[in-house]
Amino acid sequence: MTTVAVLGATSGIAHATLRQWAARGDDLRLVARDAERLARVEGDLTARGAGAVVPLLHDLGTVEAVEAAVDALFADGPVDVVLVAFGTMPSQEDADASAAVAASLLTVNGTLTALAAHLVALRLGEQASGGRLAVIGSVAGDRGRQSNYLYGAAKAMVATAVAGLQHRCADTSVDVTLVKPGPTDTPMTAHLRGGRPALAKVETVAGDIVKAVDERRPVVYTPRRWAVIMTIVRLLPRRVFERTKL
Amino acid sequence: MWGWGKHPVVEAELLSAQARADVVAAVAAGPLTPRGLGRSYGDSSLGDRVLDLTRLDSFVAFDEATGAVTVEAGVSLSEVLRVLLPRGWFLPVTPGTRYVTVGGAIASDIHGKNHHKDGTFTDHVSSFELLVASGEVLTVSRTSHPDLFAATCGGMGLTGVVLEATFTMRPVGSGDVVETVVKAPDLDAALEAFAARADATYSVAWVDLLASGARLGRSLVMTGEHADDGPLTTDGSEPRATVPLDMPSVLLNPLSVRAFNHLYYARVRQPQLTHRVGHQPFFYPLDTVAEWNRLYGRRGFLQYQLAIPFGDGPALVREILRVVAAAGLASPLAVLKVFGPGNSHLLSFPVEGYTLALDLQATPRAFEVADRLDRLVLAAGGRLYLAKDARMSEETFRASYPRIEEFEAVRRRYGADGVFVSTQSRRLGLA
Repeated sequence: MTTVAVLGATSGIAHATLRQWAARGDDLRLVARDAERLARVEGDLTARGAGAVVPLLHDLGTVEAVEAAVDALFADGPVDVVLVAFGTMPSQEDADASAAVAASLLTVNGTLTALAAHLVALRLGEQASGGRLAVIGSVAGDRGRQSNYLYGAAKAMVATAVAGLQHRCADTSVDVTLVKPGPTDTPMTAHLRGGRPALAKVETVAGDIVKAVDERRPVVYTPRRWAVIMTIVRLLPRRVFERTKL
Repeated sequence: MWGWGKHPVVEAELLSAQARADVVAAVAAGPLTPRGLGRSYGDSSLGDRVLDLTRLDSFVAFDEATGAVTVEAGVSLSEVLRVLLPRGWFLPVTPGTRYVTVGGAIASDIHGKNHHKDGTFTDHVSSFELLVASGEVLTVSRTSHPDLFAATCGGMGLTGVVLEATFTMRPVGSGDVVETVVKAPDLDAALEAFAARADATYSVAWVDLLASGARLGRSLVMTGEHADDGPLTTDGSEPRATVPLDMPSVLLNPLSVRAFNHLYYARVRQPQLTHRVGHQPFFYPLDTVAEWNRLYGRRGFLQYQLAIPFGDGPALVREILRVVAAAGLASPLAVLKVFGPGNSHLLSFPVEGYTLALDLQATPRAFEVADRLDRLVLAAGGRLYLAKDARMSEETFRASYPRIEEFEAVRRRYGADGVFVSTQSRRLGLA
């Protein structure tokens, strides 16, 4: 029986991915900050066939909270798979209006996410069986764009941290996967809908995450077309790039 | 925005609920129309402000011992089946598509091929949570709020928004069905086949609308039972093809339909055939092709489904088939079934007797013919299915749903008038 732990379990992508693990009958340890939403996710996953589900309440907004949450995840015995999926996405306008919002965006999506990945990888390395870690990055981290460069900068930090962890864990039984979803239809992106018909279905993203973890892939773009799109975006000459609305 | 029949098309503001709080806020902000997967054919999920509930898609609880499952209103029957069939449970009642939500199944009080044995979907619902106009969430059951239960089951979303519901699944040993197909050369033979096989769990007939004269009502009567053992999975049941665009409407003409019907009838060679099939082809043959409604072209289509008491039933069915055939309204999809007794829900459609469902391309001629059929159905004491209706008049509606005044009283009592509305409710003269 596999034990899966998720930081940020009530996020749209995490919940959809957890449904697929629940369908396999996996044991689940879930960290989130909102008790009512966590209870609903717990009920959903239990009814869908999950094994033992352990809900853990932590608001992952500080270094101490991240440390405590990682401790709690490993308190009840070994964990086979960890997904780091917490984050926030205030609009660029909110970040423009408040330095505090901008700083929190950078901290939660960058510093604290990279820290969580680092702490979890160390714990997995201490387990005799090793383990697998998947971290949610973003296509936004591949090149800074005017519309969301703060979020992108935070996710670029995560990407670099994951690359380093992969290097560090290369000869161990710990595997680390960086997931780079394109814009996905979740509550986090609800404000984008309307003008953005091409949002990916969250079930597609979830399926790709499960598969990437199963196959121990280092990096996965989801949906797959984003690997091509971002290669082009990265290669665009600066003069051309700066004339786009991206 | 449109329903499954693509007629009518209306301008609407579309809201999406991500969580319960969004539903509460949307109801507080003004009149609205709840909507699930939009599989009702006409205008019952259309309005000026439409609230999409398909994101309320969590399971709440499942009791492995009794089969009782509680889900949010936006969960589809397809998802229920995908999750619970592998554990040995099938839907208590299913329509001809898996792509309806539980909220929609309650609002339309849907029926299936087992109506004569097992009643409608809501006959298997024990309770639901309903957000009413005041903003309160009520737990509604046959005992806690009998009036609201009877009005909401089949109430087309006009009493409030169902947030979650509990219903009981059916234990099965397999996802497969043992199907028997009987070739009925005319209507009498089809009705006899229904009578002879009244004990079958599932029964339905496909009718060749273009057969006339001595062959009027030529049918394939299909009955089925859940197999005792076999695969318990929905794998491989996703749509295999999609109709990419609205087809030119000339594709469906009397010649092409006649050819299709002939081949479909001739496909079964022996007078009676028994074989084992998956639940997907037995219950959901049309789900294999995504967006099949585009086959009817841009104009869309009307689905006309009537229920009439046994009384003059056979003569009336014959008359209706004759009218449709004479009008040259080609449709390969015509379905006949025997209903068991109706239930006590105020706007529930089924009445004990026969039900006939026809697709008609939405031409001016089809509207005229439908008006003629209305008069025949009314005279026989029958009615039309609200989940398929896009056109009946207020007079026809009031004359055929005898408990409409009780329904209006319940809506008034819970403040639903003018709050939960739809293009259909306005057309039918409801407050």
